[in-house]
Amino acid sequence: MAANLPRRIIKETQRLVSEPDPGISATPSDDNLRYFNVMIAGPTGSPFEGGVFKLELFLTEEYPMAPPKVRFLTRIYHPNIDRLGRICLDILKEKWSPALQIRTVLLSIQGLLSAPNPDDPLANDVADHWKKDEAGAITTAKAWTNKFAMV
Amino acid sequence: MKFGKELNATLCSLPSEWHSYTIQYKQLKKLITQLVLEMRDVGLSPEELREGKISKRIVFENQGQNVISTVCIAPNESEGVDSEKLLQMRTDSAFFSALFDTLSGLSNLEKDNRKALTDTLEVLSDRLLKAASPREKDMYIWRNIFGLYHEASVFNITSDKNSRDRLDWFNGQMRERKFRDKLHHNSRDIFDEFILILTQLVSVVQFQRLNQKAMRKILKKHDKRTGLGESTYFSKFIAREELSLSADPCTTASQMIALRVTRVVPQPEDYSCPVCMDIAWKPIRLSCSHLFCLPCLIKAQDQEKWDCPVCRCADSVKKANGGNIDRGVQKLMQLYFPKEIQKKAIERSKELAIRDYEALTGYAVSNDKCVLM
Ligand SMILES: [Zn+2]
Ligand SMILES: [Zn+2]
Repeated sequence: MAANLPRRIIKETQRLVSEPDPGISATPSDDNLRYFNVMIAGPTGSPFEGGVFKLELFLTEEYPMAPPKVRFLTRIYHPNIDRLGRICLDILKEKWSPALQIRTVLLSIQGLLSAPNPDDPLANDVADHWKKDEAGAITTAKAWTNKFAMV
Repeated sequence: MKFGKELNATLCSLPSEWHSYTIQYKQLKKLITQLVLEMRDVGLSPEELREGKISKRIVFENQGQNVISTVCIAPNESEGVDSEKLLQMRTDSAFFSALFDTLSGLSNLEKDNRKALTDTLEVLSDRLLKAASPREKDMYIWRNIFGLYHEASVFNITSDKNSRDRLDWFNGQMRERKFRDKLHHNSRDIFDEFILILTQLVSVVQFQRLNQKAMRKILKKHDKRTGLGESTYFSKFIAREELSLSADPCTTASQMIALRVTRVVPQPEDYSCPVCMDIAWKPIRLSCSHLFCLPCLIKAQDQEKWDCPVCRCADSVKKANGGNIDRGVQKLMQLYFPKEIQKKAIERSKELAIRDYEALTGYAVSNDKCVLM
């Protein structure tokens, strides 16, 4: 399997393991080195603080010409993440560039947890809640963090 | 461990001629104790100062051999006094004079050390330029040596291990891989010199950081016990006095080595393509100045990804063609990375063979089996 893995993926994987960023871990699956199990710790000061969120990340054959596919597995109350865990993030779509990396993608997602953007929503009901009653939305987000993301 | 003890313990491992230059931590600590007594005598209460009940500013003046500190206490509104009350305390001036004197000495020592090291490095650099030139067989060994030096990140301040431990790791790697034995006679001298300089630099950095820490600690103690909050004023004062003390000894050291030693032998990473992260062969320079390999450019054009992957400059990729090959970099790469280029060429031809095979047969060549597309 590893024989045909592009050198770039091997290099990125090595760096992810040897120089992990704080609050982020990404480990390739044993049977598919293009599939990563990802954990992101809820950033301090955000309603997700204290939680650990599981994600899956998959590198398609087109990678790095096409962005990685990333999805939250842990449920999360966030205006830019929907019920299926899909993430609304420009660099995962039209703003993708092959010079970006797994690492930069995960850092952006971590940033999205720190700074939810209800004006560019994926989960409309959550975004409405966030815009009309931010304090209430944050309380719900904290409750969900406690319920789904505690280890 | 108490800092005073830590200071002495660290000093033991450093050259003895530096000892007299060290911040006199113990002596300064005594002066703080005396100062607190003197404050009582002049009617200044550390408690009230700490609680912020008294508003004041501090003025430092450099008068030849001495630093004079003046505490200027703002007029108390309720008492209706309209001018600042000025206070000079003998022990406070003695404290800052002693500290400043040591810092000046350190600054001169640092200047001399840097000058000596720079001169040595200049000579080493010239010799290395010849010994590690692409015309010599040692180039690849030197590249491996410097690659491991980077990996050791001896002068990386953010790492939790100290420079000495990381240098030990590097030396261990050198022994294990027998790099010194593999080098030619001329190169071996240079190698020994390089290790010696690294060892010296590690000591220099350790000494500088030790003094920085001592200064931080003693000023913190001063602030805490006197409540005068003089440390911020003193920092500004020494900044004005333009001492040549490096604020960041690690970075200074690593730049010295990078500039005159490791950069002599280019690493493939310095010429890597940001898309495939492999050596950028053949090197294409986009109009926005970013460098890519030709295969990645072709792939991007095939998929109509027209903007520069790094800076998103519009149509950078679209406009690029054979004329964008950077001949200068190409020559340099041929000279310095013959093995890497050959490897990349073989991989590329395999890739093309697979693509042709798939196009001809309609079968996708997978990793270990063929699957129908
Ligand atoms: Zn490339
Ligand atoms: Zn560019």
